[in-house]
Amino acid sequence: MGIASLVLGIIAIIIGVFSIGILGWAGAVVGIIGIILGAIGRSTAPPEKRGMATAGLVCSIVGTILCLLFYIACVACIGGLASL
Amino acid sequence: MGEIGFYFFGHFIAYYGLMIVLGLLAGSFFAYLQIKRFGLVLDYFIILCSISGLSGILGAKILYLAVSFPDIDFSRLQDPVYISALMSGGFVFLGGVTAALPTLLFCQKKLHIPVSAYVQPCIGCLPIAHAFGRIGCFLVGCCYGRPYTGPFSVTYTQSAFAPNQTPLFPVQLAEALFEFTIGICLVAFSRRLKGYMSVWVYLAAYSIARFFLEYMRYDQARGMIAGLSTSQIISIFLFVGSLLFLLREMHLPHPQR
Repeated sequence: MGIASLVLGIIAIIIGVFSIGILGWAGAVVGIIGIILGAIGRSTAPPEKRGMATAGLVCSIVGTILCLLFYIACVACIGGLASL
Repeated sequence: MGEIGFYFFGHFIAYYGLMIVLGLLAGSFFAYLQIKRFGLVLDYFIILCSISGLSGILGAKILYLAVSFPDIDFSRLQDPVYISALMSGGFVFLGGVTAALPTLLFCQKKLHIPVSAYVQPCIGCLPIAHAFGRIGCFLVGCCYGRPYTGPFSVTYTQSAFAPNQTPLFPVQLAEALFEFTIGICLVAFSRRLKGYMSVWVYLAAYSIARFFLEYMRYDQARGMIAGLSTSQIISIFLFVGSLLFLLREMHLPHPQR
């Protein structure tokens, strides 16, 4: 769970930073799934083995926020261009 | 007034996106305080929020696509740019709420998380986060109100969505004010509203407010059926359902709550 969460979190960050919002909706979905897996990993793992899940959780949260921020910025731009 | 966003160290930041993120952070902050106050497990709360949030986003998107179904060009569905534009189209909040509720039951049954223990103190954070989203709508001028010249009217000058140079009723701010009020009340009285009572109170209050605020909206993407907008029809069902569940919850003995 922890490794899967970390991988999904990193993918979400990469999508958020490099797709400039165009694939932000997909990045947000990937990030949220990463958050779910990270939180499940943290709640089921013993305290000394929670590091990977915590890292995955943090990466997924950061990735989701980045994707949402740039995605909605992109949505606003598309909406603005369409109405010109 | 009505610009889409601003530049921060060379990066374009959209007001709406910024307000959504600020809303998520504000809602999470209040939820964190409530989790600590009630002595609950933070990880369980994150799981509940993420699963219901994901299904809520999907539900909101699906209802938006259903409402705008006649406008979809099915011949271009293999064009990635068109798909991206379609996914960027919008969301219907009530579709999100309707889709998110069943997933809470899934968490209770399959993941064995005591959902009511988390929902009771934290449901008030949802309207607080939603209120920020409405302020984002107000800043860019989407979801705008009817032409109106009374007190607090707002006139957009550079909006890409609302009619410019026309005084409008600030329906987004009215909804945001209502959301803040109901959110703070739900947080403040969270110890008194047992079980799922807080959910039904929130849904009943929001559906009443949304039903009447819909009459004050003037944006065209409304999806009308028999003189009522899609959101008004959902609001009626939501109100009746939440009222019935609230009455049932009030008559349950304490140990079952």
